[in-house]
Amino acid sequence: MGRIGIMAVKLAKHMLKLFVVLTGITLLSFSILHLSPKNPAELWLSGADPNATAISQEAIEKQEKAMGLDKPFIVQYGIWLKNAAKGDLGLSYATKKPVAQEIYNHMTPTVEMTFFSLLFTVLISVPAGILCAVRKDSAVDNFFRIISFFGISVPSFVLSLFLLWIFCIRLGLFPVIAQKGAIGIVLPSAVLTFQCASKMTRQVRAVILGELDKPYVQGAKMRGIGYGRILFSHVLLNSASPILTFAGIYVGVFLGGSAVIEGIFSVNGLGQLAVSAVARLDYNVLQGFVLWCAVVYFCVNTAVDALCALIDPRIKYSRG
Amino acid sequence: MEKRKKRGTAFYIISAVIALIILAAVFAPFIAPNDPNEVNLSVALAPFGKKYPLGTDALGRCILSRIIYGARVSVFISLAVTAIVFAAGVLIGVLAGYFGGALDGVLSRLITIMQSFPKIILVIAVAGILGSGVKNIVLALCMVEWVGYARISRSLAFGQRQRTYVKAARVCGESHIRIILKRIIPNIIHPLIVQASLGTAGVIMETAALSYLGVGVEPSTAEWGAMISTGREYLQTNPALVLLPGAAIFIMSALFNMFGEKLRDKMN
Repeated sequence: MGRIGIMAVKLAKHMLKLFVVLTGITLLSFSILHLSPKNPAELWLSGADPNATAISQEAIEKQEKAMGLDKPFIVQYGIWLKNAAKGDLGLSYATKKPVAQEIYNHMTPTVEMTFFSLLFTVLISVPAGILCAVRKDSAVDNFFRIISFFGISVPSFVLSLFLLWIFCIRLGLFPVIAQKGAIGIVLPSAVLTFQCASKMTRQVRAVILGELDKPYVQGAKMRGIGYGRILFSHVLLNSASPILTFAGIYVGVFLGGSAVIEGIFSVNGLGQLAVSAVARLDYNVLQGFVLWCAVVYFCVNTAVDALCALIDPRIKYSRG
Repeated sequence: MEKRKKRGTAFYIISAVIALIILAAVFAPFIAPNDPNEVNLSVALAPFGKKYPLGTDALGRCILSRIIYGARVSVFISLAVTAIVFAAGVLIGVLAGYFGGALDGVLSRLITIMQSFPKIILVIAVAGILGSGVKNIVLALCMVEWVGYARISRSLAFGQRQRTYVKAARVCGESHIRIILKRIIPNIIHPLIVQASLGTAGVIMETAALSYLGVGVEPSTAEWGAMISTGREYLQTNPALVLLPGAAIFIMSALFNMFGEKLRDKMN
């Protein structure tokens, strides 16, 4: 088989895996939602508003029929799956708008936050991690260790509230309720960046330290190759694989929206959508959100795998 | 030349502090200066003082007492969850990594599915279905946290499976169960324990986050996340209501993180 053939087979295998995982995830969330004691028909009619007046039993039953809730569970899931494949994710119980549109509307702040947080996380962590690894146990190393320690030990909502207090209330630099556009996402992105950069700096440091320990580094040093060259031509490339994997994980996490952070800074992102959907038991929105997360996760994973295979020939030739 | 490692006293100090805090949590009724649930509107939002060392919240409850009692909840939930998911996750991971084949295929798919699921949503959904309360939080968190341990122990067990001593043991006729229990698990337990310590710190933060969102403990319970949630509206006037429980969460979490790191240093 030629190169194209091999890649086509790999792609097909990936698509199959994607399908299996997506089905598994959506089936899982479908099951969990339906385990809830609340009645979706009732929720639909009341607009998922807990303060709505009571609805008559006949109206509920009529709605149940309309929503196909009288059919067996698997059939219901099958119907959802079929519609989802066509791009129809149903309507939100609360707003009665298409789920896909709801997700789209809330996507912008989340994507913006993802972009900036990831950018700064990588810009900070990679050089810092390398520096810390190269100058292990020095003042710089300890400095970053202490700061990153804060980053991983403070919960996101505490940090967010703290920043809110300092920058919005005390210093008045930002409005307490975020506005649309660039200004609104500065603080939440800062929180995300701080947290993930802390984690990632440590991870980068560990990976590079692991590489530096390997015999080929000693060998290269003994042959008189300059340290800088060893670092950039060899160690970095070898470390790229795990580092990319970590970055991929963070992208997936960011794109799922950070519900708590968004809530505190009043950012209208996907995290907020998901949390309010859970509170209202807005099943369709939740299913759509879960699907979104799964697709994102899978795409990012595949992209990272492909990138790693590109960079590291060992991986490319060991597979397929 | 690498510096010689110092005697590792930090490890014992941290362990001692953690032990102290756990003791304080257990003996909270004897240590707390006031009743954490005693509502007294006449002293609401009091500043630091003799009777209320850290002041009072909006309902006049002593903040220090609530923080001490909050330690109870956090310690209990985090230790319970970690213990359960450690056992379950390591079991599943080792089975998958050791036996490989179809079992590994199925378990790996399961792990992948659970990983790509947005964690917060799952926990909130489960907690929402089960209702609030300590037991339900433990259950909800367990459903999500086991995946990390499963993944790590799976790759560790997989690495061990190839080793010579395992093959030798099989040749000598040792049963799989014996090999797993007596040989593989002792060899992989160290990094897993480090992970457990770091994981406990994570669970502490997640418990607080859940309570902050309102799906954790009963809203009026003395728990750090819940305290932050109710104190949030007073952020402008009395930031202590938010910052003090926040500091408590940070300290607890930091202690377990430090413990895990020192443990890792010690084992290497």
